[in-house]
Amino acid sequence: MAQPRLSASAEVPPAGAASVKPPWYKNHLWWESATGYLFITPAILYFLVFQLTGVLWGFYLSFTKYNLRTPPVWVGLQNYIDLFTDRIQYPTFYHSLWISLKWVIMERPGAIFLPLFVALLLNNEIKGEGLFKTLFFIPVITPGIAMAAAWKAILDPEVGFLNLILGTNISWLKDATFALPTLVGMEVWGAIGGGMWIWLSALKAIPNEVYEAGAIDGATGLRSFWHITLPLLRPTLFYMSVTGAIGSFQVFMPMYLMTGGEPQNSTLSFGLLLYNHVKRYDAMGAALAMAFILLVIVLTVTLLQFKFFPQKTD
Amino acid sequence: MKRSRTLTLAIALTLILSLVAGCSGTKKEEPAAGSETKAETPAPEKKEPVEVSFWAYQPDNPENQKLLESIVDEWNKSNPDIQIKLAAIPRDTWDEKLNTAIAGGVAPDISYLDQPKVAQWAKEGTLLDITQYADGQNGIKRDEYIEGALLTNEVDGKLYGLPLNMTTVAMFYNKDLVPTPPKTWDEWLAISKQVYKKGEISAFEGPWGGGWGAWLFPAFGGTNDCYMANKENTEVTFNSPQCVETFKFIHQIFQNNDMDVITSNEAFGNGKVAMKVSGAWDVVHYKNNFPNLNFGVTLIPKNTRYASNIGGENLVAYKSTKNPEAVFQVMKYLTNDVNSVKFADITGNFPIRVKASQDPKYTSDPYLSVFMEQLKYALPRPRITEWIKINDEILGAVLDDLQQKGMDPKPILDEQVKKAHALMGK
Repeated sequence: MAQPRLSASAEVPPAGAASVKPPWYKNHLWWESATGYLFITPAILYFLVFQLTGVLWGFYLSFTKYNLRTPPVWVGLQNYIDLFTDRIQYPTFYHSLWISLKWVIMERPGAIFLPLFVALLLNNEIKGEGLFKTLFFIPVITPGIAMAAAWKAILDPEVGFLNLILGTNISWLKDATFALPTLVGMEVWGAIGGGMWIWLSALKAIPNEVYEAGAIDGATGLRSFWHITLPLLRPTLFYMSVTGAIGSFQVFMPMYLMTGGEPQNSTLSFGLLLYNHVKRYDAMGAALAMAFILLVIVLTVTLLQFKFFPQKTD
Repeated sequence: MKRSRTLTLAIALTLILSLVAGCSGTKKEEPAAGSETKAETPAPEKKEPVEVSFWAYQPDNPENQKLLESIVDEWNKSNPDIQIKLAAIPRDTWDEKLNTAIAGGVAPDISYLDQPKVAQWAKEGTLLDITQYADGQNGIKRDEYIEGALLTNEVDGKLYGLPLNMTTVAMFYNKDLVPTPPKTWDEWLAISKQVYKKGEISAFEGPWGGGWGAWLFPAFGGTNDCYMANKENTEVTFNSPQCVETFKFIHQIFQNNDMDVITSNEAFGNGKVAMKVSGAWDVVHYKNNFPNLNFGVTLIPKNTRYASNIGGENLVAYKSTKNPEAVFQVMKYLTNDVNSVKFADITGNFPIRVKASQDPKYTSDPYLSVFMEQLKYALPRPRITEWIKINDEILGAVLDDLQQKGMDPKPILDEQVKKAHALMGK
């Protein structure tokens, strides 16, 4: 990235002279590379020391029985085998995977496309654009406790706003059918602000000339959106899909804070099950095995996305 | 050009050096970072005082912190040869710090321990068996401790700690809806039927499922002699006929409820629910937030006997301790009549000594006096190492089916007991 300086100031040997390569301490190209590497060394060191070693150590521990107090006991593949086959020790393993999968399927489309919809609306220089952007962004900066309290009031089965407009008396978070979708709804609602900003910058990056050219060819309105906007948004869509999936598969916070996996394990996500095995059941080895199983799943999904998702705007 | 290159290099090197310096300069988190009282040095003669390191949860306000320190100071003043070294550790980092210390061979001599952890920690060899000291010459009188709380320290017939504080649940009732609180199951059911108004008033805020419900259930089961495990803690027994009967009864109570009423926010506080079972924290909650609520607290209605569930912390000693006799004397002191009330104040729970119920702070309060009575009947959780998992995933998993849906308890419970035994066998 520092290359452009070469043009004016390069100490290039004069044309015609024998091509003597300068010693490294005089070769300014070498110094430029070295400087670059030096700059990224702190970040690399940090990754190696604080993240990679942790991951490798955790991988080792996933082959042990370990409760953080007594020395780890090697059990080989037993944790992994038990997670997949022992329904007495881990009765909710597959169930929690299913819950997390349901979460991803329900949450991702909403969390990606709803903000796009909002961004498209706000991209049109309407009155009060700034106000709307602020309003949509407020959930992103509101403390979780405040939002949880507000949601509790909205979702109340007797006097809550949601039941009021629907004319029902559903106990949203205590009903096994509605608890997970309700959590998804809360999550997507909170994600609109953040996603909206990403889409807005992507939309603003599309130069007007493209639309004008398209209009000349007769592409307006919906056709314009489908054939011009969407393809140009593909890189952003790809980014949101890949990073979003990685995060969504790990979902833990909403169920930990609001339902604890209840009712009847309908909100017991894989992340929450993992957490319980660390905090409540003292089973660090099994929990780490779960973490690496999730890693394989997420890696697979990510690779599939890289393979099959059209990334180019062509 | 050369200047800016050198400058760039200089900055890069500075960044790296600062990272390295930051690493090496990182203070190892001291366990005593919270607060430490200095051991009082005795008159400089004779032998070195024995030091007993004591890890406690950091109290939630400075007043309680001072109270905790005063307990320690009082002992240190009159016991020059045994000095307590207090470390008050914030609750949110407690687990990691304690586990790390134990793993690193630098465990404290004594510390708080959440009750249900005692069985596992004892069986894995982390805790000191204090049976010989408790029953020895300078031992304790077991009947001076509230029985349920003391039993939470007993594993395979041996004692691994003394109780430090305890909680239990009791029956809250709305005096306007329930002028005379029920004492027996029959009364409870009759009042439930009487008070129920579809869509408006429900009889009972609960029962719930999952791990929380499973923590509460023994409070109901106990009142019918339904127990979670046998005395030896070798088997779980929540499929006994008494337990089957309890589940059927609870379902009958539940039929005088509407889900939307009992799950609405603050249903009891808003006067929509006649009764609920909860801990003493709700006394403060309702007094503060619903001053117009005319509520009372009574013992959980019994069928065959009074009972309730239990929670709280114990005081345990670690096997790695170098001075078990001295350590035990400190444990005795920290759990005596006077200090049990102080620890109740510090932790917001209840004292674990029988005599403490005579403290005017409790006898004069219409709510707390009931809780003190209920404590006597609090049942310890099974001292089975897998109990928390069984609680959450085996018992907790079927509670809604039995209590709310009214499914036939016997076959379901038999199945769950089989699973629990299979789990225990591993």
